[in-house]
Amino acid sequence: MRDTKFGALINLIRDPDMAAELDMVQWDLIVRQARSSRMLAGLLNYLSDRDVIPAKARKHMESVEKQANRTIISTKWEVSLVEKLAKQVDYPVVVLKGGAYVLRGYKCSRGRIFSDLDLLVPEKNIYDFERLLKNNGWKGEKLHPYDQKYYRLWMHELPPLTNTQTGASLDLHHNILPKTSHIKVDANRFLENIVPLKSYENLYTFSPEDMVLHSLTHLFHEGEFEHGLRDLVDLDLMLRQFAREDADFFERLESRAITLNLQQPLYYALKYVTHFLLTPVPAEILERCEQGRPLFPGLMDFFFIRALRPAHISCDDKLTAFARWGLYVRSHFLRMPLYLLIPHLLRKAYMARMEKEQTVEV
Amino acid sequence: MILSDLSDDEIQQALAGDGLNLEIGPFTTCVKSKIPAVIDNIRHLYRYNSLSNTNFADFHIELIASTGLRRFYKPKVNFFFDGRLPFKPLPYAQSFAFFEWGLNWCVANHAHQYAIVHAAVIEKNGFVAIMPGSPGAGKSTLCAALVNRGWRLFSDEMALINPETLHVIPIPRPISLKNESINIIKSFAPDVEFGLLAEDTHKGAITHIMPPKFSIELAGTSAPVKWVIFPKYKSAVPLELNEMKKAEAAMQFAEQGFNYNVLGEQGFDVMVSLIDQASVYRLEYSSLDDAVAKFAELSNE
Repeated sequence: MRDTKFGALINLIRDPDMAAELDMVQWDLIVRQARSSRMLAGLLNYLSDRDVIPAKARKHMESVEKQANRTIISTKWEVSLVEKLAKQVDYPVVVLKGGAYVLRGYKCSRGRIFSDLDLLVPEKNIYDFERLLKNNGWKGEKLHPYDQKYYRLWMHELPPLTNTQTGASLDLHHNILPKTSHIKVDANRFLENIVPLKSYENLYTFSPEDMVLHSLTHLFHEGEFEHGLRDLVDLDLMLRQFAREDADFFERLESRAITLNLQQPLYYALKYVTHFLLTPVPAEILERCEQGRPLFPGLMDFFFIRALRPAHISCDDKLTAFARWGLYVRSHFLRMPLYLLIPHLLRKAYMARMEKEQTVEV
Repeated sequence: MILSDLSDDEIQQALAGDGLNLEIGPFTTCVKSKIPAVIDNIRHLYRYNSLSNTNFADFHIELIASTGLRRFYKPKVNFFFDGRLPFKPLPYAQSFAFFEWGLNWCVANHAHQYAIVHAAVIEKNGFVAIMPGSPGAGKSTLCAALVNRGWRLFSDEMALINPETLHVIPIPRPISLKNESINIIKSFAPDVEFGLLAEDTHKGAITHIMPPKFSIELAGTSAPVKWVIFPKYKSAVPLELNEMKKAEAAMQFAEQGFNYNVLGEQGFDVMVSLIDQASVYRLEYSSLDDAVAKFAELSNE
């Protein structure tokens, strides 16, 4: 990968020391690849000595870093509003994904821009917490009754809510995968393992290993690979950090994956995080994770290796668009069994067509 | 090396090939296009701009005309930002204007090292006047008039403010003029050079005028702010220049901030300090000659 164009960004992440030797042509490409992978500021996590980055390139990273710092401030603000409601209920409220990384101060939260706060509550309490949010300044979008049904009957989250004061959006989950998903995940298993957030009342995050499993399940089950590399980099940073803080981390990660029925996504994650980013994963863990190997690993390589490259014109080959499309289709199959999926897609296509006819071209 | 050092063919080849790396204010912009109006206007209106010698571009822009049957029926143009489409296509006639609008977007969204305010900015005797403007306030017309009477053009569209020094960084580019303003400036400054005229855009007829050469040559020289002037064109009124309350001015100034929310506290500090140290006015005018005379008076104080 070293000499090819599409490796410019990935090679720098693998070997940050090379930053001092790069010329401006290479920096031009790195900035572009990093921007379209949405990790322009995240790159600074790897480049500890900013002085080696030429000013022209560094300005772009620091510009996004400013936006990312706003994300941190607004996330903390939204969480403080949620905490007021969490105090009133007798079930746990769990902060997921980006919000959790920010509150835990993980390295991967630095330089990240995200707009939604993701929360999880026990399924039996989800409508109660939704009502509480709606009585306290959040509102749902106007959705077609079919879309309402889609969320409430089949999904692992409710339709998105918006804070009417700040405009920030909030997703309320009761599980990490749709109810109709081909992998069944018992959300109670996740809830058994949550860890309280010290400076907040009744707010929690997943444990480190569950957080990793959630993140990687998301990456390898969803069909959006526009920022696939960024998500892989998040995993890399988390794995390195957690393994440093806890010698048994990988052992526990692997056994948690078995408990939670997430061996296959773990297999993919460790395979590609080591392939792309040379993340140090113990050999015996990699070997044991072979349990989660799919039927045709070579075929999946074809798709994932293309889709996980930076989403930039310099990294696309003739098959990249096909690979991304294939994974998008795959995500639908993983989401729902065919007897639900086909009527659903027909219904959505029909609805989109009706909507198009109603809007007039200006 | 500046753009006019290249032959017409070389410019056309660069635009059609790997792109032309133009220095535009503090940014290097790599432009690609095969559209004749874009090639023509760039060759003409950007002829004094330097060519970059670093091989690093801040923005990679490409304008591509629609293909297929679209070519014959209401042809359109797409603005690519490094391979992506941040906007819906526009009518083909607006190709060059699309480049200019798109470049505004590039700067406003990717340069948070500056506090960026929607304003026309000009300089005289080492000091800058910022004219924040809501659309229709006539800031571009006034700006075009002033830079043809000796003021140096920083920008007709945005003030790039260094948050540490509070100096404004020039980004002189062709000034866009719409509808009636085109003829007003033609008669106000008969020698001014115009780019191609694009008719029937969503903003009406639109064209661009050449910035004075010395503005481009001094693009590397920033300057402190002495005046913040909120202009308002009104027909048939005597010119009035009134001092504004600072608090009110600060509010109105912040409203024109492109990245006020991104900068947060730093943005607030910049706005307040800048308004605090400047003289702040509201200007109502109908005659460009009167307005220009008033500005000359201010600059000699």
